Amino acid sequence: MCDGERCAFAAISGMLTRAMTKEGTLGPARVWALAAGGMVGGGIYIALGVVISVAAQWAWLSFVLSGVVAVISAHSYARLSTRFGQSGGAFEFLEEMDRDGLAGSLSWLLILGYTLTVSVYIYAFGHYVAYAFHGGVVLIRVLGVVIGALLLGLNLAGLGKMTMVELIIVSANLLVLLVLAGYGLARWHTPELTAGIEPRSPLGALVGAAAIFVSYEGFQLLTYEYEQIRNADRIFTPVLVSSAVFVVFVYVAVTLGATMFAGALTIVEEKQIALSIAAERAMGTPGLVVMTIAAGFATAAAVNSTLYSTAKLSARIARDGELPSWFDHENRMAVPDRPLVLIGVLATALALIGSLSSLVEAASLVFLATFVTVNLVCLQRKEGPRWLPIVGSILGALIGLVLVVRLAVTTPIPLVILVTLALFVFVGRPAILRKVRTESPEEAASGSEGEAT
Amino acid sequence: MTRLLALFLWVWVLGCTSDPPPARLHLVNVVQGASSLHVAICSVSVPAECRALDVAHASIGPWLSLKPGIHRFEISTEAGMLTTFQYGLGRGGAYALALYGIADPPVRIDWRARARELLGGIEAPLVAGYQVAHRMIGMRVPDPSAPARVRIANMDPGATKIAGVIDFGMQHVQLAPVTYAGVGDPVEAGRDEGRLLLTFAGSPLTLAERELALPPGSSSVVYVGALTGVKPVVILDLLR
Repeated sequence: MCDGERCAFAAISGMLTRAMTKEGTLGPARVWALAAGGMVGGGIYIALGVVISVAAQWAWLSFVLSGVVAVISAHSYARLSTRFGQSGGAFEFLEEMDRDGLAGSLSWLLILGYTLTVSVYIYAFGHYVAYAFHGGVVLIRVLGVVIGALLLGLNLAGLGKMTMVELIIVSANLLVLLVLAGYGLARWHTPELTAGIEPRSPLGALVGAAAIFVSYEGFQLLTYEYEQIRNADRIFTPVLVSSAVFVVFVYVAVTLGATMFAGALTIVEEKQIALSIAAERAMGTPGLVVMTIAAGFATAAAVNSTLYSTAKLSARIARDGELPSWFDHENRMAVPDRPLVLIGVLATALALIGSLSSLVEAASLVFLATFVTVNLVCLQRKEGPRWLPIVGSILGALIGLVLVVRLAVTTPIPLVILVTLALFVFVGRPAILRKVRTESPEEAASGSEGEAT
Repeated sequence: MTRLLALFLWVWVLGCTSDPPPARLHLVNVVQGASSLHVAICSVSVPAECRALDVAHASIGPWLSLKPGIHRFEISTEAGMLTTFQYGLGRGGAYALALYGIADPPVRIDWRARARELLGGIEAPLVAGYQVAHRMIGMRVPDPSAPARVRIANMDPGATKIAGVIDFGMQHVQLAPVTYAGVGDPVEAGRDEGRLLLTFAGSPLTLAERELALPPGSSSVVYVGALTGVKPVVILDLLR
């Protein structure tokens, strides 16, 4: 039973959600767009300056190298999701393999990785929007808090998954990026690739691939929605793989196209707003306005979808007893409110601290480890051609190794933090789960009823 | 689709047929231990195209107009060659190339420095200790009506971090601490004139101060070089 106001609110929210998601059934076009948008949404806006700094004229090759791992991993994810017929991604695959402990530990680290990713998207949102208004640090932080709070509120109200809205944002964002890329490529001038910087060896491309791997993590979110996909067993693999291939092309085109306008040095020096600078140089103030709108909506959508999916994943993991049952709590809108608030508040607070690029690179290690694990599971389950997961695992492990060395040499503190957290998760997690309740009171009650019966 | 392709080809042909505008570059010499530096700049694609000039200590050289492309730079003193390196220059770009460090004969760069440079990118310069090094800075000019932008470049060998504050009277703008060989993020100045106070990060003592004229739409870099006596070399590079 609910009172009048509550019922009205629930009804409106339910109607909106149903209208936006068509009863939660996702067709191939939507899945494709959401997968592509999940990757492009935040990735390219934060990665361009970092990759050019490391790989210079080979930045495009960095996106190809990490793209190969992403495409192969997307194939493995899709095949395994289809095989098991369940939402849940890597956590589900490992559980199906009776590797509950590893599934639990990896999922804890994934939640940490997603939280850091959300904080970087908030950070990027603040920078892109504040730049258009000549805003300084204060405005960037205010915008970060506002977008964090707004999206948290929307999610708590049950409006977190509006796929039609996401679809429109994703499509518009891709269109803006492709126009910029196409216009830039049409003005091709090779010296711009090293304008103001020292040319570097092709080896830099491998380091670049390691630094920006997080740009490809977005497609995983679709594996958490597998059960919402219409004819998933038929369409999921081709749709997910083709969207990943498309994103590799988008990243390569945008990297080259944007550099033609801004020049390599400007993109490195202004890495937080690199695409706004490129668009401004390409089309003046209208270009800046369009890119600011695209970046603002794309990063906000990326925050929203990552927040929503991570909260759902956390609740799911808690239901399986791999997180404290505190996480498995829904509000009156059937939204996992506790993980949502925890992740949203933590990510917003982290975004206020400042530059997170090193921490995000450390988080990339989590995603790389997950992708390699999924490829190995795929290899073991003999899903598809064997050489694919072998190549994905080897290249993924190589990029991961380069990332570890890069972090150890350049910014060891985030690496130490990540290793400490990983040790804590792998060693301390079982002890924590033994000490706290890992099933909800309802489950506990039904369990004891069952025993009594 | 055909129209889009035609438009793409038209823009592409137009871009290919027009000569790219030259890049503009000037050199900033804050190298300690030499009264001037001799700089030779040669195009890599056309080796015969070379320019040579001397840049006095604590000064900014004249603007050079250079063909876009990769250029080789050779830096020497009367005592001999200090360093050589390459940079790309883009069409119509404006750059400042800062030369800093101590003018000692070059020493072998060990593998750790090379690994750091490979892994760290252009923000981890390949250099041994305080040997002469270089840093290219983009002199991007903002919108003419936009507030002036100011950055600090810490080129003072031995200095840990240098911070700054621009005193506009009622308003103060902080410039975040910058480590040696680093260039800070640009900050936007609120007014046209102010006084810059430089300090070692965390120290209450003023290291140097300087009046700044910051017209809207300008971009400034404040280079802080090695101490000469009790005050460091401070060079203001302003582009509008």
